[in-house]
Amino acid sequence: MLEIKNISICYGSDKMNYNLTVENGDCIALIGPSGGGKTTLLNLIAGFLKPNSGKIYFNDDDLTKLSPDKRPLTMLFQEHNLFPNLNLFENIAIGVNPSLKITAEQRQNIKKAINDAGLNGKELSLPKELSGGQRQRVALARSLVRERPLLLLDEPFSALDPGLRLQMLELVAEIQKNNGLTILMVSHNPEDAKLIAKKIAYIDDGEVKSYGNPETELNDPLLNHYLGQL
Amino acid sequence: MLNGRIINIILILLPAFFALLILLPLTIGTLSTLLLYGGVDGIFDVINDPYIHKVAIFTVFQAVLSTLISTIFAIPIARAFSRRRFYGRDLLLRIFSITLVMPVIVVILGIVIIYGKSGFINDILRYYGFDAGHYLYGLTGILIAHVFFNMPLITRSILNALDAIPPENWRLASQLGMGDMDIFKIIEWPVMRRVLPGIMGVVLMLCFTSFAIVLTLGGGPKATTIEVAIYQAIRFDFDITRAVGLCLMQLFLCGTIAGFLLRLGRNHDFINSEKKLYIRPDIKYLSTKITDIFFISLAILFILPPIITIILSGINYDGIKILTEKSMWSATFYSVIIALSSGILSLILGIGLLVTSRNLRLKYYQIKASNMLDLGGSLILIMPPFVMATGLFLMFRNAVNIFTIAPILIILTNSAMALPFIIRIMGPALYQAGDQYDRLCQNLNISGINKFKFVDWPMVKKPFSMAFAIAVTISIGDLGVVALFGSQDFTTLPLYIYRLTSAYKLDQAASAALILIIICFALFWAIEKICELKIGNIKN
Amino acid sequence: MKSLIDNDENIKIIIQDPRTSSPGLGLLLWVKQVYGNDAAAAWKKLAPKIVTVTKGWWEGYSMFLKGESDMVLSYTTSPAYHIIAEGKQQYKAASFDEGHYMQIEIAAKVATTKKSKLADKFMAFITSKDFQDTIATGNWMFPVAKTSEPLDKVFSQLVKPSKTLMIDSNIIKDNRKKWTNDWLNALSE
Repeated sequence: MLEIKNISICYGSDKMNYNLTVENGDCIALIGPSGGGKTTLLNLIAGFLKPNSGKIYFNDDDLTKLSPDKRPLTMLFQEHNLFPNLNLFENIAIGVNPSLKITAEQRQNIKKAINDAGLNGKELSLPKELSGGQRQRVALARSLVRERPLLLLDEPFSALDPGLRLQMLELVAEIQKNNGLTILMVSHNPEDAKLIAKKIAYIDDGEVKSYGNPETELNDPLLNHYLGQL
Repeated sequence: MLNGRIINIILILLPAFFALLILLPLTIGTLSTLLLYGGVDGIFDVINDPYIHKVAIFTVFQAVLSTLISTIFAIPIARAFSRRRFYGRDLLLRIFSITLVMPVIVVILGIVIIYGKSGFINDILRYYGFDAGHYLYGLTGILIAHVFFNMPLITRSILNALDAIPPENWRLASQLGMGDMDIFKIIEWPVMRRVLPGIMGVVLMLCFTSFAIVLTLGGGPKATTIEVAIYQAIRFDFDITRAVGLCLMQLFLCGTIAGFLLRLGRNHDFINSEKKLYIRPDIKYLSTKITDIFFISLAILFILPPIITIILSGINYDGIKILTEKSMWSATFYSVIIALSSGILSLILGIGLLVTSRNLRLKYYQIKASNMLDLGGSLILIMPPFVMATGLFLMFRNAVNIFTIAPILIILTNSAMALPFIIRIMGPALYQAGDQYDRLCQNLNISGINKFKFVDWPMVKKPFSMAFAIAVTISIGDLGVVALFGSQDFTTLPLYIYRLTSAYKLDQAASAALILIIICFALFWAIEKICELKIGNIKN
Repeated sequence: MKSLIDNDENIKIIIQDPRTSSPGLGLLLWVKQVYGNDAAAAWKKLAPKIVTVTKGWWEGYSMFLKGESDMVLSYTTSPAYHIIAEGKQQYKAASFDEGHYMQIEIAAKVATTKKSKLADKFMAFITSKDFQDTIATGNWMFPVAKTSEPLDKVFSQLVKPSKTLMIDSNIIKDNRKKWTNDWLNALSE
C-alpha cells in the first residue's frame, strides 16, 4: 500500500499539499487541469523533488528520505525515456545495472522482456531508428526488468496517435495484471482513465480534491468545468 | 510579367553583389597578387630554408598543443559548471564568452605582469624557495596565453551541449542510480563528442594564425610562427619574395586544416534556446564535489587574475602621465574611428551576403547557392589577416604611399576578420525572421521599409547589436595588421600599448590598457543602447 | 666571450635581434669575428642562456633594469648614465678579452633630398664642437670629434677594450643575410 501523508511543498507562491492512499495492485489515474499539480505529485513520489513536510510510505517502509534510485519504483516520462546513444538492448539493460554490467541470467530476462514487448530483432537499433510507440514500449520493458512494484507514468502516451495510444494502454493494463504492479498514471484524457484505472484522483490547486472510482468521479460536479460538461 | 521577375531577381542578388564586390578583391585579388609577385621564387626560397621548416613545425606544434591543453581542461570545467550553481556563476560564464574578443595586448600585458620573472607567481614561488626562472618567454608563455583565450570558448561550447540534454535523461540517471563514470560515458561524452571536433578545429585555426601572442611572448627565433615570420620578412628585411613564400605556405596549411574540418561535418552548434533548469544526480557524490571545487577554482584563478591585474595596475601614478601624451590620444582617436568603420563595413558585407542568401533560400529555394554564400563568408578564416595584408600591400605599394592608406587597409582586413562572426551571429536570426514572417507579410502587404521597421528589425536587433559590438571589439583590440603598417604618425591604441610593453614600461602600458578596456565597454554599451531604440511606433 | 659562452653557470642574458637592432647586429658580427666558422656552434651553446631576443636596445635594456636578466647586450658607456645621472654604482660593463665590437652611430643624407644645402649644413653641424659636447652626457656614447672640454672623469673609468673589432662593411654587405640565417637556424634548435 502506498501512503502519501500530508506531503507539502512550496513552488514559489504556490503551496501544494497531498494526501492519497493506493492499494497494492491498483491502477489509479491522476487527472486535472494543467498546472494543477499532477506531475509535481509524481515527482515527489519518485524522489526528484523534496517535500517540506509529510511522509511517504510504501508497505510500511518510509520512503521520504530515500534518494530516487533507492525507491522501489520506475517512472516513465512523455518522451526522452531512452538514452540516445545506447541501443535498444542497452537501454533496457541499463535499468538493471547502471554500469551495464549484467549477468547471464539478467541477459535472459531482458531477452524475454524484448520478446514480450514484440520488439524482437531490434536489439541493436538506436532510439532514433525506432518509432514513438516502439520507444515507449522499450521504456515499459525496462520498467519490467527492474521488477519494482511501483510504476509511475507521466502522460507517457499523449504524443502518440489515438490508435497507438489505446494499444499502449491495453498493454499497460495487461502488464499490470500479469505482474501485480501498482500504477499511478497522469493523464490528460479522462477516457484513458475510464479504460484502465480502478480509481481516479482529481488534482487541482496542488491538492487531491476528489478520489474515487471512475463512475462517481467522472460525474462529480467538481469536475464539470474541467470535463467541459454543463 | 517577365520584366518584373527579372527586376526582382536582380534586386535580390544586389546586396550580395555589392558585398562580393569588396570581398572578392580582398580574397581572390590578394591571392593572385601574391602568386604574381614571385609565387614560384617565394615557394622555392621557403621550401629550401631549414629555418623556415623549423618555423612551420613550431607553428603546428604550438597550435596543436594549445588546443589539446585547452580541451583537456575545458572538459572537467564544463562538467563542473553543468553540475553546480553558485553565486557568480553567470558572471563567470559571461566573462568566459568575452575572453576571445578581448584586446590581445591587454591580456598579454596582464599575463606578463603576473607570470613574468618579477611577477606574482614568481614572487610566491620564490617565497617557497623555488626559482622557476624565465618560463614565460617561449613556448610556455604562448601556451598560457592561448589557453587563456581559448579554454573558455571550448568550455562554453561543451556546456551548451550539456545544457541541451533533455532533463528526463537526468531524471533517469537519478532513478537508475548511475555513478559519475556511468554518467560521463553514457550521457555526457556522446554529446561532447559531437561538438568537440568543430570547436577544436576553430581553436586550432586561431592558434595557428596567432600573431600578437607569439610576437610578444615568443622570445626569439626558437618560438616563431609563420605569421610572425611574414611580419618579420616585410618589416625587418623587406624581403618580399620570402614574405610571399611564407604567405602561400600559410594558406596551404590553413586550407588543409580547414579541409579536414569541413569533412568532419557541419558544426553542431547548440544555440542557447531555452535553458531548462536540470538537477544532476551526481552533484551529491563526494568525488564530484572535490573535483568540481578544484576545477572551478582553477578556472577562476587562471582567467580572472590577468583581467583584474590590468584594471588594478592601470590605476597608478606613472600611468596617469600618459593622459597628457598627445600620442596616446591620437592613438585612441584612430582606434575608435577604425573600429567603428570596420564594424560598419563588416556588418554591411555580412548583411549583404545574408539577405541575398535568405531570399534565395526562402523565395527561390536555391539552397545550394544560399549555402555557398554562407560558406563564402566564413571562408575568410582560411586567409589569415597577414596574408591578406601582404597581398594588399603589394597591390597598392606602387600606386600610393602605403603609410597614408594604412588606415584603410586596416579597416578592410579587420572587417574581413569579423565577417565569420557576423554571419554566425546574425545568420540564424535573419533566417528565422524571414522564415516565420515572410508569407504573413506578403499576405498583409507589408513590405520594404515597413517590413523592416515592424518585423525584421525587432527580431534581429539583439543579434545585430551583438554582432556589431563584437566586430568593433575585434577591430579595436587588434594588433596584427597595424603592426605591419603602423608608423610614427599613425598608431592605434593596441600598438601603443605593445610598444610600451616591449619597452617594459609596464605601468604606463597598464594605464593605456585600462583606457582601452574602458573604451571597449563604452562602445559595447553605447551600441547596445542605440540598438534598443524602437524604430516602429504607431502613428496617430 | 669564450668564457661567457662556454661556462656552465646559469647566467641569464638579454640580447637584441640583429635584423632590427644595430647592437644586435654588432653581437652577431662580434661572435663571427671571434669564432669564425664555429660561430653557429657558439650560438647554440649560448642559446639556453638567452631569456629573450628583443626588437630594439630600449626594450631589452628596460627588461634588464626590471630584473628580468643578469646581463644585457648594451654599450660600454651605459654604466656612465647610471653613475652620473642616477648616482647608482651597481651597473658595470663586462670586459671581454678577445676585444669588443665597435658601434658607430651614423647620420646620412638622403640622395634625392630637395634641401641639399640645408642637409650639408646639418651634417657639418653634427661633427662640430657644439653638437659633440652634448653627445657624452646626452646620448651616453663617446664623441667622434673634438669637444670643448675633457669628458667627465667617469668616462675614463669605463671598460677599455683591449682590441676593437670591426668587419669591413663590404664583407658585411655580402654576407649579412647568410650570417643572419645561420643565426636564426642556430637559435631555433
